[in-house]
Amino acid sequence: MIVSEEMTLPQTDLSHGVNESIGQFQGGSDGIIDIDRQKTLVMAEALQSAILNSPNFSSIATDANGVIQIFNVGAERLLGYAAADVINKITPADISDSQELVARAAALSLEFHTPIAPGFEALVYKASRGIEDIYELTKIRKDGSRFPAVVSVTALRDAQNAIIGYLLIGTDNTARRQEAFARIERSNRDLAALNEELKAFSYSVSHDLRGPLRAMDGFSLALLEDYGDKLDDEGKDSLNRIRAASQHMGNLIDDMLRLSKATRSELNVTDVDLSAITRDIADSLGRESPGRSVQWAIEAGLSVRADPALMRIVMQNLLQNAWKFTGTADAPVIRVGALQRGATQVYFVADNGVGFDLAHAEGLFGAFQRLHRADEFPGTGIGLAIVQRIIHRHEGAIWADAKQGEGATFYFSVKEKNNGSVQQVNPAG
Amino acid sequence: MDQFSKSILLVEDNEDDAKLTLRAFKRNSMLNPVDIARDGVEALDFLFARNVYMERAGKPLPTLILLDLKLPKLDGLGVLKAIRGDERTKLIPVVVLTSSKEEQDLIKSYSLGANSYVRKPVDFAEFIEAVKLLGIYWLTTNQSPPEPITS
Repeated sequence: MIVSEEMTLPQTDLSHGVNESIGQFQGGSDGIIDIDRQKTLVMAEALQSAILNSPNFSSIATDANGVIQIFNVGAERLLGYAAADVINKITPADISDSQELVARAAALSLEFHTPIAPGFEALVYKASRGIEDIYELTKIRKDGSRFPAVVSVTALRDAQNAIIGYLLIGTDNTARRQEAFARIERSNRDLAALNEELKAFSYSVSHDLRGPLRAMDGFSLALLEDYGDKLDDEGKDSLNRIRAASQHMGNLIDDMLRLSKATRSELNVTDVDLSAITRDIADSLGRESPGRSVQWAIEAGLSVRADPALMRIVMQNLLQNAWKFTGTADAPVIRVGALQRGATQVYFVADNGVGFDLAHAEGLFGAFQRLHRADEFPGTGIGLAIVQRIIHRHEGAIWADAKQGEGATFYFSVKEKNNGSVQQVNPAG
Repeated sequence: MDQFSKSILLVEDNEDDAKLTLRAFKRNSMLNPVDIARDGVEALDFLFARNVYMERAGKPLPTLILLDLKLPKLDGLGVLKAIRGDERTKLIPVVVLTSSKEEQDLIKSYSLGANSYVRKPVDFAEFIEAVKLLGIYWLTTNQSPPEPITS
């Protein structure tokens, strides 16, 4: 590309301060003065001067090659150079962090499928293509110190729309950054404190809440054993109810702890063989109830990027539900597979069991919410709450489809970039 | 030494739990003498014949220690650390018998040298079963370490 040596933009000498140009503007010469035109020009001049004199925004204009032509007061103040130090001498790339330039050039090369040099080109490539470009970049002052700048780049074009240079307007982002960091740090601290509190809470729940239940259950049993002959059936029934209730509350506490653990435990994302986990759980469900005959249809080769331990808990709960709610079905079938919805891999667990009415399913994923009576299908109602929490921790989604008497299907996905089945596309090819 | 001269030290602050544990021993015909310490400091005083337990000096140490974790004054982990840190007691089998199944408790207990970790179930029938197995193993099956030199 041919580069114009001269900046054709300003008539006034903008390279050394700008003030003197104000008021010197003469407008049209002899003849009739077009007042509107003059007004516009005065306005433009004033605007230009305001921009160029702003002490907080650095305005740097370059020629098409990147060589600095205008270096305003703000630039002098922010960067420590005098205009004369840089004009016609260096490009803005010379006062930018070189590693960031390399990274930026590499990213742009990938994005635009064309090699982009890690110099001035990397700073203005998008602008040269007419794309609005605002980015953060570390700038280096004359004394060698560095600061994060937010830079907005615009291409300057002549009447024929050819690029004659670039305008880079920048500001020091240090304060805003520090503020943002402080904010993040604050919320991190709050979060850590909250997490600690939750830990302490579950610890104390785990230790203290179970003790009294043990006593209720234990001494009820002691009464039954030692004084059973003195109690009539109703008396024994009462004691048995106390025992059952204590044990139930013990289970609820354990469930609560499991739920909080699903939230607290660390995520170790890796490739998880969902088919293998499913087969494994299917086998153990079969062993636990050898009297039942359930047909399993498990898609082979299901893989998901997730935490293996947590994914096992997800499948355990979904499959246990499917197993439980097909208990009264004539020919129970449980299907596990995946389907593609757009770019998203969606996994499902489907059964032909009792299902449920979606109209009553509002609290389906809520803790201790049940859609069935305990005497029909036992459970505390924690399973789906745990499943949902785990899926959310994987930044995924879970939903259900069901019909009363015709079975239920649970669908879930995890965050796309987690997903192992998505093909890696080579951006260069 | 016959089986029932083997004594047990139960470190348990909760009276209900202590009573239920004793009942579980009885239900399993474990007739071993049982001493109960109500907090961590008392447990160590008993073992090391200090303060109110001065008269225990020279007497045999328990064959098995059942240790709760949540205890007043000095918690179970502190007790365990002191037991393992002393020549006289460092070989005595210690079974942590507690409410929690929090991972941190398990890890800390085993790191400090617990021999076993048993969670007390809410269901007392299960608890009786757990105590039975524990008694059979630690008081009968398991060969106790040789008598330590008592102070």
